[in-house]
Amino acid sequence: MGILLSKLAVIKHSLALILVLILGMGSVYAVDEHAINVPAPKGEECVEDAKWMRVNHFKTVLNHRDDTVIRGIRTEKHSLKNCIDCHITPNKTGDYARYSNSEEHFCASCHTTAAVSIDCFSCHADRPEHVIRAARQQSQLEALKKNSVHVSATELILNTPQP
Amino acid sequence: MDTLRYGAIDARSPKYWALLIGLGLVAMIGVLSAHHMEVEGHVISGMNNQIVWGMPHVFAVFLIVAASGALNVASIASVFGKTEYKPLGRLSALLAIALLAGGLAVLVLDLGRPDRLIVAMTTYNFKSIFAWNILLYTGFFAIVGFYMWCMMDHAMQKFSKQAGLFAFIWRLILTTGTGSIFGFLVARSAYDTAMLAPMFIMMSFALGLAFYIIVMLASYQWSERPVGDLIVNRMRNLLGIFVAAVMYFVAVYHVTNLYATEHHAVEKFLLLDGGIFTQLFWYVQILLGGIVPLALIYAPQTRNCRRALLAACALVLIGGMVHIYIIIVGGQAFPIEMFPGMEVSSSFFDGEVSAYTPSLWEILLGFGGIAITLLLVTVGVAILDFLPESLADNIVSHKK
Amino acid sequence: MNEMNKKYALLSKSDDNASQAVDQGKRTFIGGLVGASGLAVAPGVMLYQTAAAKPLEQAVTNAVRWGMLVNVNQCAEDCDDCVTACNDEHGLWPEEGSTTDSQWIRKLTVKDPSTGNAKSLPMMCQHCENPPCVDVCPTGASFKREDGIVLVNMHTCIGCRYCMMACPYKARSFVHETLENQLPDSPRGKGCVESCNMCVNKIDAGDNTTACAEACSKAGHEAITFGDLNDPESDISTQLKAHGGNQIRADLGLNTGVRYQGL
Repeated sequence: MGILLSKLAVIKHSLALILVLILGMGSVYAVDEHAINVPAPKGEECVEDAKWMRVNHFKTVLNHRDDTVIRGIRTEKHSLKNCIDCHITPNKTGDYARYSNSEEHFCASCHTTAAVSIDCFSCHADRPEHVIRAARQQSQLEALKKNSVHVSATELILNTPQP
Repeated sequence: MDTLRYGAIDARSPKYWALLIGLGLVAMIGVLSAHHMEVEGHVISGMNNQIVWGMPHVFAVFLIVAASGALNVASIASVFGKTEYKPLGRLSALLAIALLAGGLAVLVLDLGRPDRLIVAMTTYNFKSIFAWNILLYTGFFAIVGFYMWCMMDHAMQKFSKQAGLFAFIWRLILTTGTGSIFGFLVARSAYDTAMLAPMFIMMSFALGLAFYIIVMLASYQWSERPVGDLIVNRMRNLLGIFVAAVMYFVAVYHVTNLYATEHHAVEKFLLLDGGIFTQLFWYVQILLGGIVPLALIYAPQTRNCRRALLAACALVLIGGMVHIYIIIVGGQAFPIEMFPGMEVSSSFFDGEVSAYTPSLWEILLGFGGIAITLLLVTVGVAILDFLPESLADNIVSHKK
Repeated sequence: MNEMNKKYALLSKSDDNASQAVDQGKRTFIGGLVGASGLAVAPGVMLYQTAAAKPLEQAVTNAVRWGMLVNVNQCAEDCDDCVTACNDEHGLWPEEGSTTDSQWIRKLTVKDPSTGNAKSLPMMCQHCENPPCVDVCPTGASFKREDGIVLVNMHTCIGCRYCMMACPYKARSFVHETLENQLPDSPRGKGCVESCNMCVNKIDAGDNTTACAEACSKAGHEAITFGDLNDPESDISTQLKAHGGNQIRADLGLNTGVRYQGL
């Protein structure tokens, strides 16, 4: 009798847990990235509507990347570079947020709240190209101030930031 | 009593717990070292773009090769019908699984992206011998597990022979695959030879048996169970044959290379002016790892001495690890011969002999792998009936 | 190309009830027509390929095989513009003397000790037709694209470095540390293996050249020629036909896409 009761209790508790988890899954829709200070994107509207993107953007990323790398299909609509160029804009002080250290980065604003870790930006640029070249030149200049040994002059010239 | 009985060892002694905790610590330190390498990047290791595979791979290949050889002891009973080895079969299977687990742990933890292990286990390029090896290794766990079940469960005993044969064939293919990882590479002068596959098979016999003898004698000593001379001497002689066979393969590999003028440069490097590699080859691989163990095994003064056998086993293991080190690291240290006969130089260290200093992290990871192996054995023998309660002569020679 | 395909599609519908003789007559006539139109269209097709990039949504095909020809006699020993250009194009910037920084292209000095003759040449991934690196990759991350470019799919690479062991040209580098400021057109990161990808981003964008070839031309040496090996009219093919071109380590039978003259 005691064993039967405890088995029932286990079943009850498991069902309760499953219910909580299912309800909890909806929380992904609850993330409001505008609550965090994400700078507004450049373009008029996204290539897809926000609801579609929230549900499907990772599927798009996963499928499109194989098309790009293996088959050389580089359509702009779902290209990561295109997303970054539009969505990553400077904040009020003119700085660009980084994915790794700021919730103001467009991708980070949702991903940190939803606690879904991604490692796209361990390899991919999380800011537009001209920003990166400028940052690179900046770090080169700093290295030059510290020790002038390893900086290549040609590189400095080639890395003059473009507007 | 002549009947063979198996029993788990008594885990309640402080010595056992000390061993368990000690091994656990070493294993944990190994895993933490790997984590450190993953976070900081391999720049903190001694490996670089010239020496691509280093100590972790030496340890991993050593453990994997020994794993396949450790199963040999069980095969001698099941496949070759030598009933004296039958009591040793269960520990042999356990040790084989433990060694493979330790070796794979080291290999996997050294990957540039260990977080992608799932990718490695689900995406296969079937032309790659490495991919085949992944399948062979995971299959090995399943097959040896089944074999172990057959040996330990009375109801499954009737499948023991077939399971043993299947396991034996599987491990021959596995070790051939491991040797072929290097043998298939056309790029480097020290590789690109069919010799490496059978050489690895022979090395697996020697290293596996040496490891087995040490583990067996140590566990019997520490659990105060008797081991008779009959089985010890049988294994001693077998080890001698295996060590001699390895030296034969090494001799044929080098003599063949020496005959071909195109291989003279790499042979000169390995045998004569390769610095550390030459010294390791002659003094450790050949002398300490081959000649001295043979002397200890066959010399009349030491022929019956167990300490001498243990020393021989330890030396065989050290010699084996150095042998693998010379193959893996020495083979990479010698520059790729893109323009035979020419002097090549570049900013990418072409044409130069590359130096390799293993970092602490790699060595800790390697020892962590050995600790994982020994931990699995230590736990296993205390939980299940792997070890016969006595290996005295009357029990071993008793024909059932 | 589409014109020709349409013609073929129409022509393949043959009338089963027609007599054999009529069929044969039709075939000869139509064959001649197709041949004539092919001849008329072909130069346009060639021009189309060299003048315009492949459309972005179209997958690459093996109609093209990209390759490079290096004229060692024109390679200057003290020049490394190709290396600098590659580094800048892909955001490499290796530190001098570093054993762990990536080098996708490097200058080799090859000296014959018996004669004293020394040559200088750029060495990069040879984009073999039978690449050993592709054979050995356990996950298939190291692969050959349909148009002949050999590269690493960083999404699948587990960083085992087996391809680096296998490459006969030591063309591959492993990323040993966390990288900063990767360029958007060359994503690269810690833990994966990489190598010269023949500026695949430039080729797919329609530039029809590589950074190293472009820099070499700019420097006035014209030692590197990039082009389509499958196109007999291309610059690289005509040069190869006229003056030949060797593979390095030709005995391995890899049929490299990078050939060298003057070695």
